[in-house]
Amino acid sequence: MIRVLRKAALGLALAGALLVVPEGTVQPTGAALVKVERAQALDLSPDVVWILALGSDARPGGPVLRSRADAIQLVGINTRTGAATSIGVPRDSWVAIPGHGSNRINAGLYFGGPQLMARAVQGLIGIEPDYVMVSSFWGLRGMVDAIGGITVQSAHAFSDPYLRRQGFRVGPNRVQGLGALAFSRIRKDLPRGDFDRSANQQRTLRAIHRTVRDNAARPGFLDRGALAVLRHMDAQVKPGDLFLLARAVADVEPGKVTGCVLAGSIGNVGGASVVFPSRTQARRLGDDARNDATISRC
Amino acid sequence: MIRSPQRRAAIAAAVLSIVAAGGACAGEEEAEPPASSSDSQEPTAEPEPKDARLRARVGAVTGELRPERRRAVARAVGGAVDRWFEAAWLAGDYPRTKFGLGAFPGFTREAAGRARADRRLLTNRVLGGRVDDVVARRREVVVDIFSPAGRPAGATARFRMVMVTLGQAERRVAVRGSLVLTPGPERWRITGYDVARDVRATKRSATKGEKS
Repeated sequence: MIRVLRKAALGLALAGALLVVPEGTVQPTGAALVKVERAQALDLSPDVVWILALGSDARPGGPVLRSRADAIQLVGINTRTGAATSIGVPRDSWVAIPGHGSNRINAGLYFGGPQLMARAVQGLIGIEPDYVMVSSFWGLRGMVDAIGGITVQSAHAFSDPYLRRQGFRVGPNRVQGLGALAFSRIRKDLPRGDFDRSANQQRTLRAIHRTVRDNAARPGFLDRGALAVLRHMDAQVKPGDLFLLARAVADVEPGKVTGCVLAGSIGNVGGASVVFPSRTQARRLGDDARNDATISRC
Repeated sequence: MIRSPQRRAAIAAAVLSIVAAGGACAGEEEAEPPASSSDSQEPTAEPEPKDARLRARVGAVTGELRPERRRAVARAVGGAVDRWFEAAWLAGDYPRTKFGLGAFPGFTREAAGRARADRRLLTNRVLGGRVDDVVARRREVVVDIFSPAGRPAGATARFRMVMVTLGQAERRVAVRGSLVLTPGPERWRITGYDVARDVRATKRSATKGEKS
């Protein structure tokens, strides 16, 4: 299979749609004591789709596709089983960037855009993304606002005087766009810094997914999300592919979602603090998840 | 579907008696014309039972598409769905036990393969061997269209099809859900499905003590 690398906006921005009121539709048949059986499938080749979801740190007016990647999540979706997984890569991971020597992995976006970021992540984890999707801070914020907010599950109590003074408590936190952005960006108060932040980014993706799934049956909901990606973000993906991707995201079963953050050690290169990622773990996670989008252990 | 005159008559009598016995679900069939003007009597005339015709209409349209194109898409998508209704549920030589890939016309190869594995829910396989014939009571499709830049790129067909099976296993079967379609070179292709199937005994079969 020849994989064509495509870039578009953040994968779960497929949810970035106005909620619509269901219009007149086929009458449901459901009734008490009626046995309902259900079958579901989607033909989206390949069976396991890999999306590199990047959060660009571009400021308003800046080049979203040629800034540094603040969030790096390699997301796999198995359209056959409904499983999904996410491998989080700390942004300061010191890796080889093709054609640019070694550097922090987040510089790959700055040096060569989404294509180069994909190659850098592939070199580390061993999985070639089918799509690269990039979102700005305001893109994420607007998307979460558009779907009416999300509920993130926090493992830690933490705050930031600039991003969220009131902070987050352990357990469920209901947030709108700005809160979701803070939840995904704050790292100073977190026990494991950038590693915990990457885990929080995965929690944000899960919360978005839950909301998308809950609303997927509304007529046109997924299509509006796909259209928003095409119109408001730098999407270079066929509309038909995006149409199917939106359904693949909605079909993911929450109980089949796994995720890991790549571990590593803190080090110093030229006076700058970096993360030396565990290459052994990176390859193991890649090998584990490549064919079924499931990670058995971190 | 080919039916002999004798068989038509038998089917007509069976359908009418099911309706007369109240087998239709209250509230669901109200929009349909009564099957007989003398539903308290045994049918004497034997009108040919009419399969319900497909009703396809435009649902949510995301993007731009001219009204006539919307209707054309709804017709084409509805036709694709109806071909599956026929091949998987309504047509064929009953009693019928074979539900192979031919039951999934218009499906992509991958989708057809998955559908075949799910044929217990996507075809009439469960009842087919104990059924003499099948009559469609309702075929409805609402087509949501994804049309960025004025060109349809995908469609979601929300459907509901209700049928009555006749013979040893008299049942009222409702199949509902959605099909995902993408435009192909010539026809719309079915690339995904989310299908649920409800089966309930008719009052007549319940009275006879049939097993579900």
